[in-house]
Amino acid sequence: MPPIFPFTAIVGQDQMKLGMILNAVNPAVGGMLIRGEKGTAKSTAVRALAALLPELTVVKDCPFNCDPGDPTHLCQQCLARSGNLPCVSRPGRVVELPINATEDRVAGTLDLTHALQTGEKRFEPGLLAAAHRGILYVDEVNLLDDHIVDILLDSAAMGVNIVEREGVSYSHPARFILVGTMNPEEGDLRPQLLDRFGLCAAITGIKDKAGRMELIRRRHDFEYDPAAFAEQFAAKEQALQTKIVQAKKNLPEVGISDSMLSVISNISLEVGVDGHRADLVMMKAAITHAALEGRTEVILEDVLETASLALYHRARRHPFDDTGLDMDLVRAAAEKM
Amino acid sequence: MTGRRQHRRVFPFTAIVGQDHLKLALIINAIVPGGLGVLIRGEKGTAKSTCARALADLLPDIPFVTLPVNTSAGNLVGGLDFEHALKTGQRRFTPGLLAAAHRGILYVDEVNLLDDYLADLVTDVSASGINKVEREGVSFAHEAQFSLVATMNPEEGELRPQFLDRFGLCVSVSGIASPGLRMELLRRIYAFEQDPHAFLASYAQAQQQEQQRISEAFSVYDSVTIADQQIDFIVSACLQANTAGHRAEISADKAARALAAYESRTAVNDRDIMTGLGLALIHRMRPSDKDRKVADANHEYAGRMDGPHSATCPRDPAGQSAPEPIEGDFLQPFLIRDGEGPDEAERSLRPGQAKGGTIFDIDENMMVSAREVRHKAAFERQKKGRRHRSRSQDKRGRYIRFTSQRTNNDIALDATIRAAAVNQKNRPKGSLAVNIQPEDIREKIREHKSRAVLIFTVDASGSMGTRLMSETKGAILSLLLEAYQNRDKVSLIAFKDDRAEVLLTPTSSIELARKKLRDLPAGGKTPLAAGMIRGYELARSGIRRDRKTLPILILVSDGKANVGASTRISYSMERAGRIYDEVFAVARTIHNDQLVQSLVINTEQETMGGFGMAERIAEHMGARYIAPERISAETISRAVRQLV
Repeated sequence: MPPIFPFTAIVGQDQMKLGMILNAVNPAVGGMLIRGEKGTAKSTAVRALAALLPELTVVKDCPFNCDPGDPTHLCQQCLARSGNLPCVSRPGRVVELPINATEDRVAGTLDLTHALQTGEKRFEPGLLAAAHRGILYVDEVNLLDDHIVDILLDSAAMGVNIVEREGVSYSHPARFILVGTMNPEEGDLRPQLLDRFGLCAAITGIKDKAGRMELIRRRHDFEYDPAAFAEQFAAKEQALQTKIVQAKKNLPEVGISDSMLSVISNISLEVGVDGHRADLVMMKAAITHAALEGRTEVILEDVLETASLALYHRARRHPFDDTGLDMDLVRAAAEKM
Repeated sequence: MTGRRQHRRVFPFTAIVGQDHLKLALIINAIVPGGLGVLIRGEKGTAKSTCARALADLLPDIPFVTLPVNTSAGNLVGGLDFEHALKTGQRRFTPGLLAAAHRGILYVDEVNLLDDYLADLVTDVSASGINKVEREGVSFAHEAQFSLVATMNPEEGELRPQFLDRFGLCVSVSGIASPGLRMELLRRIYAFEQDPHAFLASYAQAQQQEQQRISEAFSVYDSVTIADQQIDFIVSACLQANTAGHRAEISADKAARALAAYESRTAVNDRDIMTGLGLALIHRMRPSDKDRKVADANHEYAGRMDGPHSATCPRDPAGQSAPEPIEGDFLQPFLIRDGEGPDEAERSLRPGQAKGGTIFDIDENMMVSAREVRHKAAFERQKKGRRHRSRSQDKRGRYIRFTSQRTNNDIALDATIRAAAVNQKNRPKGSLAVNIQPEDIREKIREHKSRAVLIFTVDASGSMGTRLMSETKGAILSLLLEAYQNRDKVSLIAFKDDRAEVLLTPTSSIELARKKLRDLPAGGKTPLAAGMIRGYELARSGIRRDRKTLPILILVSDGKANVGASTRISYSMERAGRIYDEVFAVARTIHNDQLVQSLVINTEQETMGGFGMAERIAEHMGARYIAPERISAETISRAVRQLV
């Protein structure tokens, strides 16, 4: 396991970092797509995020990481267990889906060893099971085979992975934060998949010289002595993690007023989006942002700070246009209210 | 190992904001005995599957079976029970999803992504009501009467006509435009997610009433009467819409009766009929005739109605959103908004000047409707040439079924074990439970559509005729949509002055391609060879990345080269020969490459005399050739399809 570059040591890329923190606090925000050129710290950031994920309480030995506190989403094995479910705590996890992954490894399949040894059918869980309640990370998501994309779409939509293949019928909860990175030069994503990513941020190279110099300096320090570098950022990392955990606690307390809801729907209508997912994501992101800021009520700033993350890939006016979202339009729509 | 039903907290049906026609269609499907089938079309994020699942949750007595798009055939139709075979040596049938869906609903999300082979199986069984299984030495038949409920986003492609026909009703949904309702939707989802218990409790009564209402409607359905005159109207509307077969009128009739039953009436009224027709006809009308027929049907109906129609849709049990009365253009609310073809903003674009040359307008008349293309594509599907949909040798693609023919060691473990299972009684027992012999081995049949990459290499020099250029652009645009739906990629290279530029690397984003093409400037000299070289390089690099890529080089030019690629010499009489030598040499290289196919679209204007160079280039390239007078979306589309 190579040493991980600390999240808080990443220079710039505030939108991307915010998007990831929002997801860590509230997975319902719906994952994140990071668009950017080569060498813009996309993968570094995702791996760094893993270190910040709050601890999970899971059922002991459950291959699906079931949450003992949520009886409505238990897997079949946990449902079948009697008495109190044994619990363990473990760190949040990033499961990587390589683009050459095969369907059986992604969705799960017939357990061959078991079948040959005992003559019985058994389901062998795949990556979607491992990613339940964690992050499913797809590097270069735009290069993923179409039929694998279909599986992701299916389970991301339902929060359940239904397997009806190779003589196995099985379904298990699969609610994961889908994080993808892509280099737009390599081709674009299917609109349907694009829409499944709750948030989207475009990464650009850092413009100012000081920032670029700082980046080189940190990179050098990190490679020279990863342990010392991690030590240097330990306090910051700790603080951010505490903030995330605290925000998670605040989340159920956050309210949103009708006037904020109407700002959100007005922005959607002005910018022009398909369907309602943009509205929902904007609402959830704003609520999460408020929780992060320690507020119990969503204010305009929460909406505006997160709107571009929710709208970047959904605004209908300039589809796939790299100039991004027109924030002036968003502000004007918000002020109209 | 069952678990085909998950118990989850589902957003209540009666709390869904808007989408009245969708809700009605699903309710009708639940009231009509045996169901009618509902196809839900619509853009992303419009509560398509939320609605379908919510109704299933409301009516727990109706089996609701989800068919995931990556299902393998054996799980769909059923097959040999290998555990039983191992234990007893006997063949026993283990039922599949079709058996589970009997007397219920078979639900498919993103149905247009379902593999053709599975779609055929579902179509067959749905038509006959019986699932006959002859596989793995098991011979079995069982009743399988189910209604299909499916969602699709038309951006991802269309359904084949025979599959489409299995859906009695079709609804087209889109996002809600009213800010007030959008807000209400947010408010309810917020409340649901903050405290699902409280939210479900607050809708418990409405849910209960709705459930009651549907089950009462179900029990009185048979006693609903419909007047001869009303049947007459349904039949003439269907005749006018030129629907194939009788399923449209049967569905409309049943839907109308169900609506009457839902409103506790024993007689069908005119509004029931209009709604029923709207839901039953929308996907069956001939697209080219659509507008006229709708207008006619409306006109005729208006003549028959006594007075304005004031009734409204059934009221929403939760008491919100009074739906609009149905009157006037009665099919309007149901009409399929394809979201295809250029939108209004683009329609109004005028040819203009841009930096570095003239931008030719896109000739909209040259665009075949995507639907026409699709219909033709469906019929021509079988005769496709290079695009193999059969076995994928490199173990990529979706595992659909299996075979006992051995070619590539891509073992289908499940099928192999099942094949071995029945013979275990007669085989010596080793350390494993299953003794597998070579004759048991089955291999996977995977479907991996090879993708075409259409490389448009477009002459953007000054000699290109205005009219032909805009016609060609229009034709190319209509190809883009087809390309996207076939999961093909497109790429765009323009050449003018002294170089060829890749404007668009292979992408499946039709929006991007459309934009680049629209803004393509023209003017300057013609470095034809440079353009062809660039196009060919792109084709080769595509093959390097994926051997299954089918590159098609589409050269759009008048063939009047006047700049060389290697020397960058400009045109003069004595150098013309050298420039063309170079062009022909490149053309022959492309010809000799068996993996790269090509097409030349000649845009030379006849009025200028013409040199016929484009045709000669096509000969050297071994390319298909389209003469200027034959340029149309149709001919280009056909030529491309023959190359794929």
